[in-house]
Amino acid sequence: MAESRLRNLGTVFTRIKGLIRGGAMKFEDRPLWYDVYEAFPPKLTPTAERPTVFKEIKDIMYPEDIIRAHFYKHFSSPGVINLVSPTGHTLSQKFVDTFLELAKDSRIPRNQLVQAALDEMAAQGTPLESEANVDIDYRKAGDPVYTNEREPFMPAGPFKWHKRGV
Amino acid sequence: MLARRTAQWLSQYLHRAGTTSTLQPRRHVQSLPLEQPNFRQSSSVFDSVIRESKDQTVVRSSELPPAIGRADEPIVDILKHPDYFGVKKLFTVKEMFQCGVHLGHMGGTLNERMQQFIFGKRFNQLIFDLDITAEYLRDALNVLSHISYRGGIVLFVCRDRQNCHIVEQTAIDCGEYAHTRYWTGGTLTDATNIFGGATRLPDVLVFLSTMNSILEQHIAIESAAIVNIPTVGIVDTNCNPNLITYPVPGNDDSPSAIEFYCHVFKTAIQNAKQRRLDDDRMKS
Repeated sequence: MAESRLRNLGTVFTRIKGLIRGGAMKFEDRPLWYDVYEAFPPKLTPTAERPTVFKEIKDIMYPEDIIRAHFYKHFSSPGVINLVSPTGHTLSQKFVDTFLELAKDSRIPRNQLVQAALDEMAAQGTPLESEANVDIDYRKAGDPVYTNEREPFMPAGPFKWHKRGV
Repeated sequence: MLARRTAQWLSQYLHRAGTTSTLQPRRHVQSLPLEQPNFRQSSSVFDSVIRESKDQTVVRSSELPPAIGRADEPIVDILKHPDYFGVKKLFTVKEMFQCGVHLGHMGGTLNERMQQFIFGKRFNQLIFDLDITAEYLRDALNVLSHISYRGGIVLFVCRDRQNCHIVEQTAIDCGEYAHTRYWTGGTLTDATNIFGGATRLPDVLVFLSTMNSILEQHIAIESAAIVNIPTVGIVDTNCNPNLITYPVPGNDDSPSAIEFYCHVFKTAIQNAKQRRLDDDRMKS
């Protein structure tokens, strides 16, 4: 069978189409996939020299990342994490959930949220101990991450958070 | 030392079991509320995902569009039907997520041709946009089903050592072919010499990984382009998708992701072959 072996020129479809048009291949002898390709062409033309689509790749960050980092700094990684099962939560995730739940209550002072979350977890049967003072100093002067007055555990900087969950 | 560790472990165990112990528990953690991992029940992530959503992934014959030639139904032009084999119901984005299809490589290894499929990076690990991946995978499955329906030969190719067994098993299960070993140059381009006679080449190549064992592009991709065979391929963030006819951006390393792809490819091919039998029976 006469065939073009120029793999970098055109696509599989255009090469076969050219052979049919030029008379080197009869239409009846076309490959089995030819009609399928014609009916369902790929979204991107499969040529070797297809121009690259440039797209800025952004960092994916969540508001609770700071809380989670704080947790791992003080409590390292306690316990067993089951990587096989997709269900269940890690200890740090439970801490983050408790923290965010308590943060909705505006009566709790912002700089005591961590201690409040620890107390709450202890009340639920998960006491955690740490050596040092556990509270985050959110209003650390000069730190742009912690200077958002309205929501102290949210950053004020030029970050854009992705919403969690689908 | 050993005795102390045993005592610590024992104290933790007793504490967890709800009994009192005179031994002091570990300092930082007094008790662990976490459930113990049960590796017996769920052998892999994929198993548990599929077990949970088994009812959704099975396409029932009543949900499929009408078969051709049925007396009370108009004859459907199969190629004009947008989803003749019901491949859109084969999987959900959530299942892909649970199988780790969204996980790419580190940012430094990014092939810039893959940028358009990427959602972002999490601590320098690239993450695929699964909505895009789902579209491309559905297109690929549809084309694969049509080629199978027409009696085409599918060749699964994967040079990844840890995944080659499941790829071969998939090919056996759906009555197709697999090539997961060293690719001799000319297997497609010089088949008459290599196999010692006229050879029917496959009609579509499915790459579960487009890399070979030394992390360069698999030779079969260029070979398939030379002999004009369309390809379906899982392309990771470090791969070049250009020569793949129907690329599917996604994780090509994790066994759970490969199991997911194998499952959907196998199901699509089996459905298409069954559909062919049903349609032929209707016609005759």
